[in-house]
Amino acid sequence: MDPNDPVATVWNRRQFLVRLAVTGVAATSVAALFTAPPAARAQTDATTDTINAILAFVVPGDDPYSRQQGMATDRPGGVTPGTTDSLRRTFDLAVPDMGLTPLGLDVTGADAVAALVNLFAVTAEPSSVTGPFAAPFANLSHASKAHVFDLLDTDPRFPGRSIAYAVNAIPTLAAFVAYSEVSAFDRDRRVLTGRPVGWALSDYAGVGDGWDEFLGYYGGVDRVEG
Amino acid sequence: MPDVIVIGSGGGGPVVAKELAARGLDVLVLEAGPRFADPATEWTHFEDDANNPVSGFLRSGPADRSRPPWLRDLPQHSYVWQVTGVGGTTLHYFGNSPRAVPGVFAGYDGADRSLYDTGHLFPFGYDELRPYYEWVEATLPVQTAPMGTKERVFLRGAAALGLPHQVSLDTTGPGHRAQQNAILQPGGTAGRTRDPALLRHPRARGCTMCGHCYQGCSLPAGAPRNLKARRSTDNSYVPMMLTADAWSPHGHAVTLVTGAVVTRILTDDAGTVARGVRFRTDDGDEQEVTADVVVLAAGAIESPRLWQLSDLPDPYDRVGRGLTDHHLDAVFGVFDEYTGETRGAGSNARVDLPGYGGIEQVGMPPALQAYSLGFSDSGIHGHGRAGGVVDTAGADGLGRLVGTDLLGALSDADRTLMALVITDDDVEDDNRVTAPGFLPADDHGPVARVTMRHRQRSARTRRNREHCTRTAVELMRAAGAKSVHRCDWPPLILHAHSTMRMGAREEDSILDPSGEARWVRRLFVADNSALSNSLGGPNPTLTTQALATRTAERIFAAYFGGDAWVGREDPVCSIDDRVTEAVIARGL
Repeated sequence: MDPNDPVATVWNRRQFLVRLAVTGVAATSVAALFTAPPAARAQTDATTDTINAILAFVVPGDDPYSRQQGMATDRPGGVTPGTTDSLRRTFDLAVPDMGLTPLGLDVTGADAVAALVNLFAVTAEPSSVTGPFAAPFANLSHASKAHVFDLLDTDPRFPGRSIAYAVNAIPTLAAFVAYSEVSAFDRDRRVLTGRPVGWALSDYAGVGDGWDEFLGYYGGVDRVEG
Repeated sequence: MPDVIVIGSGGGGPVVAKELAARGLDVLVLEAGPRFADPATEWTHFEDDANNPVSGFLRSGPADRSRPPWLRDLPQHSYVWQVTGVGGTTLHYFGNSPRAVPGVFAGYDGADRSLYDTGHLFPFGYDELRPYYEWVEATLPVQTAPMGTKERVFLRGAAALGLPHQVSLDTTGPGHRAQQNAILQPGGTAGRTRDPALLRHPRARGCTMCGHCYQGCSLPAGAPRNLKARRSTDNSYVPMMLTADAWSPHGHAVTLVTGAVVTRILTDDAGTVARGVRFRTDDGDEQEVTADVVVLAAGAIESPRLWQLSDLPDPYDRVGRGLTDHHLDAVFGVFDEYTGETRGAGSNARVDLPGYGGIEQVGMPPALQAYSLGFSDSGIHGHGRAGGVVDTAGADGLGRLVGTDLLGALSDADRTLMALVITDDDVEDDNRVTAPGFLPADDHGPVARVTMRHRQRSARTRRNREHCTRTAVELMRAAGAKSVHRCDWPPLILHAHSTMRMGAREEDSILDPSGEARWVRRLFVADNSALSNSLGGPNPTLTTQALATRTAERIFAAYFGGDAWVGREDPVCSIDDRVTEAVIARGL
């Protein structure tokens, strides 16, 4: 299917909405992943799976989530303990209430982000409920994950509600934390514990108090008046 | 009882406070956020630590970072990126200080006059504001930016497009130039070494080209606060207002209270004359204080919110309407050569395209580059368009970069070059701030809802954005980029203006030409919200500060019987020895 073909896009939208209506069981199972008692959740940890799957989608590496999506590399990528924790904390603060109760998802923060992403994953690709990860989204291919974000970005129910801002921010915030210092950062002491993965990926020389970058003034003009 | 209360200590409030304090008035400044009194220990250069939008130390929220941020209700793809604290959003700004283009002022009769937002001009001529520009430029001070590698690459591309080199402060036609920045030029070892041992003040003076403007400017290390390189108000106007008695013959030092959230503007019984404010401090205490004049300078989002929450009159339903944001976009070039994208000031070069907007070179560390490449209203590159309404503008790609596309583009953060597209956008009624929004109230009341109908912007706004974006793509290619990518940002509201606009007609403006609220006397507005329009594209802070200086004069003349001073006196610079000595002596 050509994603730029408007006919195909409309058809796909209709297909998605039909599936959304008929996959009630799957949606209920998604809700259960995020609303189960803590002891049960500890075994599945679907939110962590989802966050890692988002990080692997944006910045693939040599982790299981990247391999599962069929786009991996031979070096660490976005999935690290520090990055996962940071993105979870960011979602918790950025989207305390996505208003998902009407969808049967009475959760907030990172759990809400994960629940919504997985609801769309299951609806778009019901077979994602089976796979190596507790979170259906984490079982998808890279292209299918992209399709889920396209559906989230274009859902006609979201404009006019804060959820529109929230869904659009998911990959953006993942990219930010993946290339920041958080993969090797002591939050209490606010110092590095090693070389951050994102710095290695971008060959970043690191922070400092100055650089020998001064090349003079453009056209020899160092003062302008009038 | 103070003479004047100023609400907010961002880009505009400290200007009014400093100017009136220099005249001897008793001024109280209330700031909702913290004052970073010792950046050397309170800040780091790390991007998540500083700039995580919800948990960084430069965020919109209380000083205690374990507490939630102050969110806005955003009913569309967008983000409002502002900072609370003394210095406000200037804490992360780039110091870019271009003057507005003359075409956005009343009386402009240039051949291109029809190209501008002619329905929302400033209610006076450009020549009237020029002396105030000069005053602020001398006070901050504003200086011509130095070149680093990224500027050399950017300006090489601009010159190859045939754009002339602008060597004036007034913009009269298309051109390219080094920025006029509120950043002290490199002196001594600054810009000449990377050895931290050699980069301490006074051996190093001015900009050390560290590449961390967005993480707050606390360099050169060891410099007194008013001699830090970037002239964000925490480093310039705030030290001046707190030491006004030391450098002005009749000066009276300002009283600054932080962690003080104003929850209501108080008026007389008729609701038509301001008489003070009610504010809440971090410990939950509520207080009221009265004054002869109240100056609202809480920013283009919070100022209309506070007006609405105070139930102040708005007979034409104008408060909060007309939000302009420069309809920003980003264009990235990837190069085979070193660009120095992560080094040097955030933006030291620009292109102006009067009637359309402009383009500025932007340099950032890798996480902010990744954020920029990952933010789009056109979906994921190569995987659909997500309903986006623009094309590539000649670039090789469009939309969010993820996966191997992102890894490839950012494989070397010093071989990229970012161009920020700054659109001359229209004042449009439906782009607005309302309160309350739909999100739950925060500690201080209902939150603001910021509506930006970005896919339905006016035809002129859309035309201008596409023109500037296409020019940015051409510039990248002319500079030698091997690939060029268009992001198509949703509203990333870094520049927010005109929600309490000054105008000539009461039907479409909140402020009269003096900056005073039409419906509430003794209430003035002195932040970006007071701007009549989006300035034609230039960054707003300098114009807000020039306008705030003018407003301070109007306050002094109207309510304190004083005379104007701009054009009659010489300004004291914020790096003047008298300021420095007082800053050191008082441990500021």
